[in-house]
Amino acid sequence: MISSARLRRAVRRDTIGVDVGAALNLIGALVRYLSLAFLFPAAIALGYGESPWPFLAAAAITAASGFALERVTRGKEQVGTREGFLVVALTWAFAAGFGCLPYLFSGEAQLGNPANAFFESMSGFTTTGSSVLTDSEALPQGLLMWRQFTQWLGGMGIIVLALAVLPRLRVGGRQLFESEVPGPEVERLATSIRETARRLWVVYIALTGVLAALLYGYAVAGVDERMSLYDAVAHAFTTMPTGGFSPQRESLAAFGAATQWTVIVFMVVAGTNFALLYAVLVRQRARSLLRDEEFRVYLALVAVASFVIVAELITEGILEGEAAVRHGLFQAVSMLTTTGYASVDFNEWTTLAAVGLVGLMFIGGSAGSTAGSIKVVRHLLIGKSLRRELDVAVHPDVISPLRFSGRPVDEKTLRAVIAFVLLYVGLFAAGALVLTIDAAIGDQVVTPFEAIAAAATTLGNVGPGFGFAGPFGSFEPFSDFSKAVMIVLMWLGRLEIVPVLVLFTRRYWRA
Amino acid sequence: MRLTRARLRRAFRRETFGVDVGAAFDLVGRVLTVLGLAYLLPAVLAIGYGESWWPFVAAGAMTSAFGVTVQWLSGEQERIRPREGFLVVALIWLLVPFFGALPYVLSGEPQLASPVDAYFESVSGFTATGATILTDIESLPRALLMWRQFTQWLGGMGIVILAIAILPRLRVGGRQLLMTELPGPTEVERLSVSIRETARRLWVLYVALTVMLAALLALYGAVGLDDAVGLYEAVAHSFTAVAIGGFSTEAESAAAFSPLTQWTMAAFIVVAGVNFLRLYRLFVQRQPLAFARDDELRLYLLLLAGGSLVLFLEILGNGRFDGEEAIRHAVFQAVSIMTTAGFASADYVQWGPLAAVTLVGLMFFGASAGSTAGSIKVVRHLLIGRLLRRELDQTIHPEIVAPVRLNRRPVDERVLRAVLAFVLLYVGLFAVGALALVFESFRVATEVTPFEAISAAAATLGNVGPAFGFAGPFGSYEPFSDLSKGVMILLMWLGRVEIIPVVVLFTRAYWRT
Repeated sequence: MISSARLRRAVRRDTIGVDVGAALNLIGALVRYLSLAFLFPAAIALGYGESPWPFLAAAAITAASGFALERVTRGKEQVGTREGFLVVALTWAFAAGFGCLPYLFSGEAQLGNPANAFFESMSGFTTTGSSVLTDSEALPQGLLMWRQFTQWLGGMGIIVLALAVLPRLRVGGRQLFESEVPGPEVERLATSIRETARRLWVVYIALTGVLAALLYGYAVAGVDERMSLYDAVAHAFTTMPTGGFSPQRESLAAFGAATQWTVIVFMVVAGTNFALLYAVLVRQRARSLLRDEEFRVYLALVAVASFVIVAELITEGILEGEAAVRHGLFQAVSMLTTTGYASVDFNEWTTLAAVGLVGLMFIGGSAGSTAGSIKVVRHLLIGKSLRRELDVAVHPDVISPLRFSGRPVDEKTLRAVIAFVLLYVGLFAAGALVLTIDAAIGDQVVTPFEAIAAAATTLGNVGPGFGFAGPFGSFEPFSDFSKAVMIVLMWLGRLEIVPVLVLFTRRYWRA
Repeated sequence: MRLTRARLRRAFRRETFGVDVGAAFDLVGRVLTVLGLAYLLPAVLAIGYGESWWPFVAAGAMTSAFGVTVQWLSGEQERIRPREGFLVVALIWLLVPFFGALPYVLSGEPQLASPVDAYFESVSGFTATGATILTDIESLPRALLMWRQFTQWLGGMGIVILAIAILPRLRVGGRQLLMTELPGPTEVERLSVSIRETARRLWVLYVALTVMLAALLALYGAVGLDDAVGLYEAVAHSFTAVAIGGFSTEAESAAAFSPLTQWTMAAFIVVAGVNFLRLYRLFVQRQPLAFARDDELRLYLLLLAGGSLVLFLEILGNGRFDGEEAIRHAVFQAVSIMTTAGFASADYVQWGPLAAVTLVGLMFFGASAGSTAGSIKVVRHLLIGRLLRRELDQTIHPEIVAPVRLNRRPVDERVLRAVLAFVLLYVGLFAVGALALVFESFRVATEVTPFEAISAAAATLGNVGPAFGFAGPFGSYEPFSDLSKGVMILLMWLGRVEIIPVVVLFTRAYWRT
């Protein structure tokens, strides 16, 4: 007879240093909210005359689990920084776990394997965009829209994660942004996070609405006859979170040039710091956009990367004219911001462009955006600190602080940034190694380059890789073990590694 | 004429730049003058074997003449500060191989006729890398082959000083750590005197190790334990084993020798990869306790054991070898690649993708920082591991201030920063190099897979030697284009001087007063 009182006592703070109960309580609340999300695809399914039951059943199970979790841990609403790591790590695992229920209940053959369903769901909530589907168009409309919707929901979570949660947890030097987030200064953690979230979500939702309206406008005006209301909404859902899922098997290659250009612009916007977007759009401070150092470097990187890819396409004679510029720009932006759409099958491009695109996967958008990977600001700070190291090598007596956007950067922050990048590179190398070895053991036709690309694309939350996992391909041929590795990579990449790693240190659990 | 010389001197004077270029060139000139003597060894051999000796004598004369001229032009300026040190280090590893390539070009050997090929081979020698562009090693005259081995041994002598006496004083990549371990009265001495003193002590050790290995191998040959080893092979391979170089006079590298020879070579490479300051303690000062109590040494041996074990399992799973053979090849290859020597006891290119990826991974470790090994070095991996560990602790308890410790002593935060910067530069340079090689080999339609290009970048930047594909241990770098070879020459050079001494030369702060 294990009473809930005993359970509660077991997970109380005095046994271990972390209040697991409080963390689970918060997760329970989030899971409960998640159950409401299933109503949207259920409605779509009804509209298309498909069965809404997979969604309703998933909603019921999710809601029940959420309530149960909250009940068991009742009375512990005080989540501190310590618990924050656990909450962050578990939230994405739980969301992906419950989010894959509709895939399993739908009886869809492509997603029947639990590893496949969980992979697809994790790829959704981490806004990665890697897919195990081999024929996405064979899926029911309701289920496809749920797939898109998971990315949009993931994006909402990521904005809060990136701008409100991780800075407070001091992950990877994110404390740099703590002062930038709009909102009143001295508040309780939960309240201030809630307030920040509310403000940034307005921007997120508004931009999604604008993009959906624009794309639907093209359909109505006859600019793009393959566009429909369904596709407009579906792609707006996955552009703003830099996700990359598409109901179309051919991704954005299925649409016209106008649609592709529009999506390019919105991908660039989605890769911008949302706190900055808030300042510009809501507070009408357009000048802060140009004064932001990260934004300037971000634009410069987008420009240079696009130029390189376009130049390669033209000199190699793969594409020419407007098409070369459009596809080069589209692919560069899509990889750099870690969106992962394809406007053309870049798998067929030459080695040069392929290696260039894999390189872009390591950049990522702004730190305050929904983009994955290392992020522009960290590259910027590392560049500056290397520069300083060289100066110190010549003049050992010189002590000069690094400056970012005019303010000096704390040495601790800088160390955290470098540590993050090293962890990222190390994890990438380990992931690529494991994927290569597993492919060799399972006699799969995966070249080392393809394994490297798969590790980079999942850890960076980009989406498509190369070879059979290319933009029009699928991750289905990978073994279940490889898929599990990539699920972990997506998860770690999205949470910026540190929150998960600290859970494995003894110090974290000690009082 | 006098006017020119006076003018030149004034232009080089410290007052014009922040750097005394004249003093730097003076030292480079002295090194080249001495280098001219080194050509006597292959010249004597050539006479002994009845081969053409004049390429060596001519090269020696040209080198010494150039050295004397540079010294004369720059005048007598003895004061070298750390500032000039960067320039000297960068120049020496660029100019010495240039003159070292002269015998290759003068010999009229068709395999080395292209100046790029000759320079590549010479850079690979003096940086103790071991990458070769020769397609048929054994067709070369014996004296020329011995010169090739000798360049690695000479390079190794330079590297010992570079690693232990010079780079620590230049504070490159956190090497100031080693300063605390220097033997002898280091504190209050003039820079050049104390470097000279350190050099003298460590060279004794270096020479002794070489002689021991050569004697052992020659003995095996004489007693009949290994028919393939004569005195020539014994000397040639002890030159390149102690230097952790990897050049061989055999087309099949160490695979040409018996198991006993291979085990002996592996053992000496392991020893050569240990911090020379520690070896000095052990052999000369007889402090075995101080020797064993070294964090870096322990991790070094652990990594070697781990690498050997992984390779062993992969070889077994592969079914290519079993029993002693499997153990020997696994240990030999793990030792040879991780310490950046680059000998081969078997053609590991055929061991399958698992072993390939493992070996390329090992290329990034290197051996001790105080050895002639290349790559990142074990102590840096150790410090970075401890630093990451501390970062995690500090993420949980931001108020904790705990120093990272090495051998129980706290490590200065500046050292840690320098180590981090070095590793980032190394990884970045590797990525850029790999990218450049992939691009270039695609442009000229060389048959290189991206993996092979990546391994070539890792093998040259890490001063390992052989890579994969056609540049494998029994293969050659010859098929790469001249531009690719140029890139790899740069990588070998940068990897050897640990990047920073070259990169600072391109900053404005370096040249300002």
